[in-house]
Amino acid sequence: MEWAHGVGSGSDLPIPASTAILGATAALTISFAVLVLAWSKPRYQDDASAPAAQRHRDRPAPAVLARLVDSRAFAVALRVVGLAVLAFAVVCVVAGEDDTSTNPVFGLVYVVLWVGLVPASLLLGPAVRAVSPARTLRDLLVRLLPAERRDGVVRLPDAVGYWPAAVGLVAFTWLELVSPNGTVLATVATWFVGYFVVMVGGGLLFGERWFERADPFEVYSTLVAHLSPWSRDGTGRLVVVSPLRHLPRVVVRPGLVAVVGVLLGSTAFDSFRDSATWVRFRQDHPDSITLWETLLLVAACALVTAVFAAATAAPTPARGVARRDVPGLLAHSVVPIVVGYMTAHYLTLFVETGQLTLIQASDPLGTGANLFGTADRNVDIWLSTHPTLLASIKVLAIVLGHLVGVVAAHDRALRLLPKGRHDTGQLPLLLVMVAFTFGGLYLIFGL
Amino acid sequence: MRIKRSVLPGLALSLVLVAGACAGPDEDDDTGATGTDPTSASTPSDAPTDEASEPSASGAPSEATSPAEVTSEPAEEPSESEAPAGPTLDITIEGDDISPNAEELELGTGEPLTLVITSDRAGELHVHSKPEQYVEFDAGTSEHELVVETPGEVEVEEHDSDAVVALIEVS
Repeated sequence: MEWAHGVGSGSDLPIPASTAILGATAALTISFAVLVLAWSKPRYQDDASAPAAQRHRDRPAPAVLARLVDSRAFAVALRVVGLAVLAFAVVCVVAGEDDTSTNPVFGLVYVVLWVGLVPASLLLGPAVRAVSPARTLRDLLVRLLPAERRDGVVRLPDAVGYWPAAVGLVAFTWLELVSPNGTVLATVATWFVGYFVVMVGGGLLFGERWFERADPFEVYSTLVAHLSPWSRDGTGRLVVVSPLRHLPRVVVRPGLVAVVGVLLGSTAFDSFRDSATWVRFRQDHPDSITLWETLLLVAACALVTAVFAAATAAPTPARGVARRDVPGLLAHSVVPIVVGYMTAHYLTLFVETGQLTLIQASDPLGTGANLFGTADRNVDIWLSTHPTLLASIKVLAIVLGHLVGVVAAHDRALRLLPKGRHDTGQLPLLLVMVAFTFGGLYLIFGL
Repeated sequence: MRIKRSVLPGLALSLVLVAGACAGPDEDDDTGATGTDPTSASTPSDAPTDEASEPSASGAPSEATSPAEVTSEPAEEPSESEAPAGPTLDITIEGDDISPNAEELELGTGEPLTLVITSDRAGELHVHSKPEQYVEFDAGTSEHELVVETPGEVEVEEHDSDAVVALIEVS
């Protein structure tokens, strides 16, 4: 069986026009309200440079929880889980059938990993970092080296920033959305062999910092985790924090704008390529379609990145802020928009194909096994049978993401813009955010 | 401060205008990229041949899949039926030539769609509904009934060629 896009069967109805208009109106109103009525002094400024006193509103997590999370046994257990899932996937690749309808490895990659990392990071914090088998493999290999070489032998230049992760994200979305063989075992396996070589090799060469800058899944997960209630204060203590205070703590490095641009651009491309017009174009140009879609994917990511950078670089910043640093300092505000859009785009896939993956995982090799007791279950499509509820959730997710994004951007802009230009200076950024939200609603509205 | 307040409504207006202007190029981009002519893409399939229009005379067996049984073989029903009254989709398969090219249809949940398939070989349609449905067909002209119970966008794909013949919006 062929699955047209990554995995999953069928897709949701476009959201009704009335719901889309409601969402768009809400987005505009929120934007104006924030611009005109909102606070005029920064409230959430809390990036790395902020004094520790500003973090006084962080509440320590319950002691029992902190002890558990900080225990070595817990950390090791998570790493073992990560390695076990990797081992399971390897067995599925080596011994399983090359068929999306029976082999769970496709669902593991495109649903559990790619989509699942969003809710996992949102609820639990930087989940990929905690389980990443690439990190574990590197940590195991590093023990073979002399102590002074264990944290890398070459210093990764700071200018590299998140750029490797941005490239990795394009590579993964290309595999998922463009590659004609994205649901062929050999292709998926080859991609991940490359991933592990680059990750583990880079980890040995540059040390641990490589993973937090280059691993596409970890960088994505850690960004989303800045909307979770779990953080660490200056002393490393586990604290409970409001997502609005947490978000500005995203570590700004070169390439951050590109990372959020790829996340948003690739999802927009995914929505667009499902449109009837594009399906017809694809079938009319079977020989050149991979080239077209590659160009379009890269163009979508580049366009979102460039538009955001242009709109935020426009105003003259306050004294002490370099103009070219402004886009990066505002990029965290796109993260909630990404999460809102991902929720709208992937909710049914996650719930329904996620169930299918669990069902397949019980009998990964088609031997009649029932490893986890789920082999005989059926996919519950309750969500799909309630299209109004589904459309409402989607619009709500996009609008909520927009709201948090606009608030985060406004709060940061107060510090970046000179006094007296707080209103006008924010306009281009606000405009871009409204455009992103409209774009998201428009694509999910159905072309 | 006073000046700024009075400027704000103007700014608001220009924001709306620019937002509109922003949406414009995007749309243009999209349609530009999809390019080609939607008219040629959605050419109606060739009208079914004479045999097709007289299903009762030819006595071609009609196969219907029940949406409840996902993987079950289609139940065979003798087609002594009269001409189909509801929506119809004509599919023509000649070698690698498969039409229509992703025709867009709208269908109610539970509303039967009549598929009239004219093919030079036996094959199978994959209906990417929830749950999946499969429509097997033989060479020649045959008539099948398709019912989708779950709302959503449903792709109908010819299995051997992976060609999407229809996109059904079931609501």
